Amino acid sequence: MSFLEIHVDEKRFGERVVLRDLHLALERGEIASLVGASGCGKSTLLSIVAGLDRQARARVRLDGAAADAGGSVEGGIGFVFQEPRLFPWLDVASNVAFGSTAGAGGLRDVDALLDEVGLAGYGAHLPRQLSGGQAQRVAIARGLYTRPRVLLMDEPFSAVDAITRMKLQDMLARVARERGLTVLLVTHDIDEAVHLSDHVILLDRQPGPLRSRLPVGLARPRARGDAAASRLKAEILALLDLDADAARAAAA
Amino acid sequence: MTARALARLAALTLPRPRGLRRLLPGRFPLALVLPALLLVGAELSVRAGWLPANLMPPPSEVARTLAWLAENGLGVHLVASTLRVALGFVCGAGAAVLLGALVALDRRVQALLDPTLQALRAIPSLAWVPLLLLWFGIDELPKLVLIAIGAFFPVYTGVVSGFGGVDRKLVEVARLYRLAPLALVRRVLLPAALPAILTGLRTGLSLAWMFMVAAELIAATRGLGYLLSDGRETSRADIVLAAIVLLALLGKLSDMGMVALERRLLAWRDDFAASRAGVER
Repeated sequence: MSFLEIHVDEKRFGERVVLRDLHLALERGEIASLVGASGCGKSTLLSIVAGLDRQARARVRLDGAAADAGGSVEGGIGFVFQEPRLFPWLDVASNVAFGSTAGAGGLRDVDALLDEVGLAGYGAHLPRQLSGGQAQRVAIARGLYTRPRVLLMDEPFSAVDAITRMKLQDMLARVARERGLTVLLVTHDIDEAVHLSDHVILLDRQPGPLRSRLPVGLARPRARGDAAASRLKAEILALLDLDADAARAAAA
Repeated sequence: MTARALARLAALTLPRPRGLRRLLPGRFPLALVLPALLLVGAELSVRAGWLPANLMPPPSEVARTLAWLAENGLGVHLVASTLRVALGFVCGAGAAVLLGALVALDRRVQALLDPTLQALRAIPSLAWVPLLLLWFGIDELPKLVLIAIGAFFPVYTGVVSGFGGVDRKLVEVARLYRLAPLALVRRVLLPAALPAILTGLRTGLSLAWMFMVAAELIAATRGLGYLLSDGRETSRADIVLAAIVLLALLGKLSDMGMVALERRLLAWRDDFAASRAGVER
């Protein structure tokens, strides 16, 4: 049995079936990217795993136990959304510690967490005083606050500029490695998927079992623009049939 | 750099007074320009005989009347009116916050109460006066109820729209952390709805002053509304104007209090108003 087991029997939006008979398993410490066309159910799958979608017929098991207790549980499943979704009336430290409950240690670890995501000294800032990249770092720190064993990330870097995105990707790779985190990342960015992941999982537009699970197999830390990474990117693009010409060009 | 060049640079970088500011002495507040012009204009117009002094007493006479009133029981009227507004506002706004929150948070309560409350809102509030007099006589209670009705609806609308307008994505974060219903209200919904609630409270407070005057005009033996009525009955326009000035001052003071509260509670906002107020970014 794998560390994280996800079984979705069926998920519908009205008459439309989005996910069906999908089984996904991740090992402890693995980083996997979910890639696929818009509307194929990637974000829905993350919502199901996080326990945000109670209508789906699905089972999630974490380390052999049912994980439906949800994302906020200590050592459970953390979530980072596409947008930072910070509470504008709370300062950075309180946003990070939003998952704390009374008597659970209050703002413990916040300074260390902010240091870890490169925001040391920002605890008293309000969200409006942060750049987009800084706000997303705070969201990642919040996702890590409850010391999750699994971190779900829904296109977490899509709203930031290219340079910031690369810095955030490197930060995530470092934090995940240091903490032994299992990460399931939804992304539209194939470069990001190849740079960060141990496996790239392709989700088909048609609901059904997973089509492809490609091992990345590149040594870490990874250099950007690596030839092997480019070949893998071309392979993924070809499988997605997004742009056959681009795929051929990249392969060449 | 020469002295001339330095002077040229200073002229470029220092803010230069523009328009009206150039005509005003030092730090004269812009907000006082219009009232000052009106006062001077009224004084001159009456003295020149352009306005009849018995109908439009000059500001200097109104000031004398205010001083006379201050020595002859003005405090009683001020306290009576202020207490009525405070009590009526607290009751009306309190009920509005409670009912508004229930309506916004529970669909069944909304289905049960909101249509009726919206229908009641459509009734001009002064239409309640005869009924309140019939029910409660001419004592304090009908006045307080009328003020409470005046304050209720803006606050109720603010609370319902505030809660209803909370960003669904923030609520989703709270759901991720399994917040209990009360914690969800306290930690997410209430702070997020606060701007709309405070706007409702501010409007409700100004309406409370308005309804206080209506209530005191109808039946009262003390209060600023009573002064207005007394001035009309004795043909003392100076007393009427003095009462109007006091109402304006009290209304403005209470509104300034609300604005200060708003600034304090909503310092986190990142909107146009905050940027105009020069909030540090």
